[in-house]
Amino acid sequence: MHKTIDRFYHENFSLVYQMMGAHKLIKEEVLDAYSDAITAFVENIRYQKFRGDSKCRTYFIRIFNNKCIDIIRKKTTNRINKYTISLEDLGTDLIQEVVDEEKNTGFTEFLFQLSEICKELLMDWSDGYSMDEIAVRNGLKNAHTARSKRYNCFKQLMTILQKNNIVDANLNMISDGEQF
Amino acid sequence: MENNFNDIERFFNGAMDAKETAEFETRRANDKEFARDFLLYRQANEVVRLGARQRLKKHLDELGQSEMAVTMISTYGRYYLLRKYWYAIAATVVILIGLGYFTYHSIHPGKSIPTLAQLFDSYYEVPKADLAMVRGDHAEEPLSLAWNSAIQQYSEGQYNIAAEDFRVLLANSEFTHRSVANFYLGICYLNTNLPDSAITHFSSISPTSSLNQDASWYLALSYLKTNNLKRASEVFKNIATSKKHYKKEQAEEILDLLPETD
Repeated sequence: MHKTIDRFYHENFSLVYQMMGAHKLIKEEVLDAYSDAITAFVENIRYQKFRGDSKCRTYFIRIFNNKCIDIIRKKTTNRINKYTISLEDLGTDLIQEVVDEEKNTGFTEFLFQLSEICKELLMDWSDGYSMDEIAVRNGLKNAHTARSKRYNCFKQLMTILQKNNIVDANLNMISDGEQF
Repeated sequence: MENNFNDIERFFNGAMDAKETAEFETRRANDKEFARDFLLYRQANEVVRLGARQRLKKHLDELGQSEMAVTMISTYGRYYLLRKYWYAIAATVVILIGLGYFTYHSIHPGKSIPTLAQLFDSYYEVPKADLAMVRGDHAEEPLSLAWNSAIQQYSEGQYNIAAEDFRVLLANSEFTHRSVANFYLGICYLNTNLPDSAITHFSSISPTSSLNQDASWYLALSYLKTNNLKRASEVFKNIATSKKHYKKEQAEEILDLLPETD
């Protein structure tokens, strides 16, 4: 799967130069936005947020453009170049996603409390690798061992979260009427 | 939690049918501990997803750095470098053009402007004096003997001795061929690298003398020798504008080569 992502990354890399030229952004900023856009694009496909209304590339360019607009908005409060798409045109979904993302990023510290193999194995599982692939990638005996290891690692993570009262806080939010 | 885990995982994997899903939702609504496990599973799932996302992002960032390094020589890279370092590129181009110009002219030297000394060396010729010897009835007279001796020394290239003989003759009030003596004495001075003295003697030659044209030509050359551009130009212009001067063409050539004077 990573090979497919890598290929997509290389094939569309000319967009980085286009954005640098169009928006007068520096290389590091656009590279960051580009990898962000690819990550979001992959997730949207994986979690079926991409409905197939447009071509994959068009959809990706829209995400990438939005990321670049975010950079411009951070850099200046001046009017955005007329060639960029305004946030009003995009709706509020993406803005909400950014807010949720920032809130949840801190939770990954709990993942890093696990052993290296647990961490990698769980992330492989989240990326959609099969148990056979996970076994090979992490040097495990077979898919059965990988499945068992995944179960134990995931339980460890849940225990860590429970110890840190992450879920209790969310339960209280539900009790207060907020939908989780 | 053990049993709950399997049920929750089946729910999230979409492995339950409608009836099981309904039972699952009912249990989730009524069983607080089950609801907690459900949220715990969901939260852990989210944490792993975010971790995987960060891992992918890091991988792509690394990919971007290597891609950038490789494509620096791409068209955009060249354009970017051109914009950023155009001063250096422009300076390099100017230096290369300069070197090219220098090399070309070193290999193919064109017309160069000679110095006054070079012009003098190109045009100066020592005039012969054989015909100035005195022959016949007066050849044995003292002044004639002295004159012939001076001319003899001159012809043999003994310019210092000849110059002394000419000076002695000119000091004698009875000596009548003064213009000729002044002319050859001036030549002797030019040959002994005393152009200022030569100028004095060429200037003292009578305008009516048969050596007048020679005197003006050598006077002009003497000014070249003394590096006096202004006076040399004046004399050469006089020669060039003179209708019958035998050095008219050479004077015009020299004037073409001389730098302009105010």
